[in-house]
Amino acid sequence: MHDLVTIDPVSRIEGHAKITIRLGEDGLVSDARFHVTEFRGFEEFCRGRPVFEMPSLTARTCGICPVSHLLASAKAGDAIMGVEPPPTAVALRTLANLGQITQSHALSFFHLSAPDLLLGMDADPAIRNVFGLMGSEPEIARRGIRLRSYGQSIIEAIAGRKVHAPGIVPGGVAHPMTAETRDVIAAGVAEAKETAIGALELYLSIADRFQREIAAFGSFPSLFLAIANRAGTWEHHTGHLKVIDAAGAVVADNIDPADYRTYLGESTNKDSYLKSPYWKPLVPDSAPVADGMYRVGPLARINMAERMGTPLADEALDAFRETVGGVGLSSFHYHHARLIEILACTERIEEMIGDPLLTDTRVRAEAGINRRRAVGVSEAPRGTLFHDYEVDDNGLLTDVNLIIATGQNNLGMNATVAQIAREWITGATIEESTLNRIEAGIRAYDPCLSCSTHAIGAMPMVVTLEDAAGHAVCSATRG
Amino acid sequence: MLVIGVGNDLRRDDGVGRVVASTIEEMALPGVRVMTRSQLVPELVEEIAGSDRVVVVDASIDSVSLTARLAEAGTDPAMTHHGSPEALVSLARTIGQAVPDVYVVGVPAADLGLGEGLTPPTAALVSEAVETVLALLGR
Repeated sequence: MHDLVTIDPVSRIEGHAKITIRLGEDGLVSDARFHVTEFRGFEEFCRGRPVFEMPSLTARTCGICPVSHLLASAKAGDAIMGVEPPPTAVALRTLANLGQITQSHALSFFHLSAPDLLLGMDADPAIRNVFGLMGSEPEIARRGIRLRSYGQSIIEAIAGRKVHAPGIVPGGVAHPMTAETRDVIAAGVAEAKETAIGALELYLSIADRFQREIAAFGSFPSLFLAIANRAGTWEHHTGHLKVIDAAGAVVADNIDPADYRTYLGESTNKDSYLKSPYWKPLVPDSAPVADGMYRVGPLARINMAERMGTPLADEALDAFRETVGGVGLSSFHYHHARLIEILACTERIEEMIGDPLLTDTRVRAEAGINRRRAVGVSEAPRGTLFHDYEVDDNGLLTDVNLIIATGQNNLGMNATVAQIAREWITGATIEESTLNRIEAGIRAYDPCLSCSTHAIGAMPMVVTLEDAAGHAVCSATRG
Repeated sequence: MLVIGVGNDLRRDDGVGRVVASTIEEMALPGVRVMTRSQLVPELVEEIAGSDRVVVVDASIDSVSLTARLAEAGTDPAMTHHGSPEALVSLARTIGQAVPDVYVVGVPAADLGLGEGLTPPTAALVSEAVETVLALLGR
């Protein structure tokens, strides 16, 4: 029924990922799944480790966003110690996260998504990559690299370059910030903000071309989850958990992260390591977990915020809301949300960098083990990250549960791939442009599976089309 | 001269690039900078452009023996979070940076599962990998 077709595999996401599209008896798309087949066993690997080692250990697993793990882990450690970090430490951790979000979103937009957005999803694959983009827009490329470097420089100043000796630790941070370092960061923020403004303007100039994609790239109602603060401004680090629905109505608020298990279930798939967290109140015993789908990350955070809290980002959020009619439901809007967040980050860095609090020398609270269980939560660039630790009286881990952002978006990614496949697969053949869009739909979530291996030759990525009986009828692998 | 050791040292032999690079770093060779990274990322373009010669060391499952090759631009256009040396060379050239020769030394990996430390077969190749890198640096 289907010819074997050589088709392009998923590219520009990382990890051992595969996409499976299932056809029904009628030959139409019935289901789709995004699998991750790596990284089993990390939680087991952590058992017996000292809680004070966990920030560096978890940071070592992820070469892309080690700061996210440092922050969530350190916050769990704070709670196990029973301490509040000094205000300067909170400020430095916040600044590190602003740098983290800036650099990660810069990579996502300039290198991973921009080739699709600026060159078009039907462009010749020979040029629809970052090099084709840079050939036509070299200055954009250079500024994107510099923006990412700026974010990285903030991270290195606070979290340190040596992951084995991290600057973010339980109780606070390891080192105060010097005035010289603060001045270097301050000197770079104007250019970073200009780049952020330019990137958003560039995106807005081309977004109209993608109306069909906006309508089919994960455009469906869902819940959204993120950290929120009492002021109602865009939050990324300190606060409580909040959930809203597709109309923006509050579903749950003021959730203590330590209570997450009351609200979040975790479905484990037999053929994928990626756990699929879901909102338990919507999933009674016999209901499918997909009924409890929620999304996290940039789109959730900006949908959640009453306002961004800084002038240019506020304007950008108002314009976004006017465009989408309130709450952004299409996952295509993650691109837009990331650019609004980069702008907010640069404005917040500009606001806080002159505060004398940043160079105070009281940066770490000291204590022993005062609690046997704690949960640390932080907004990673891709979404809410949970580190749940149980320890013995010596502070050695007896149980560990990590919930990563990409996992929480797994149900959303599955539904997105299915929606795209239904929109673009209309017969027995699969056009390359359809495969491009499936890949682009996944890329909108900017999934990070960086904890997987990456050794030369060890990066097979597979897209498989299955018939109704589950037999593969075509697939492609990039080895 | 720049040596970049790449890999995840919580995944057994995936960390061999870092081990080789750290060994060279301890030699404190004049004129040789050493970096270790979990993966090659776009801003390394600036580091590469500022060097006379670059050697990247990484684990490999493409071969059962040590390999060394020159990274040619354009052979791997997809820049993911796991960028390749070829992608970095292409990126540098595309944005107009001068690019030195970038060599890639691949050390065979036997085990890429979770765990710390190299397996004996890969560990046994570290000294040969170090010599290969030094030869490419002209030392």
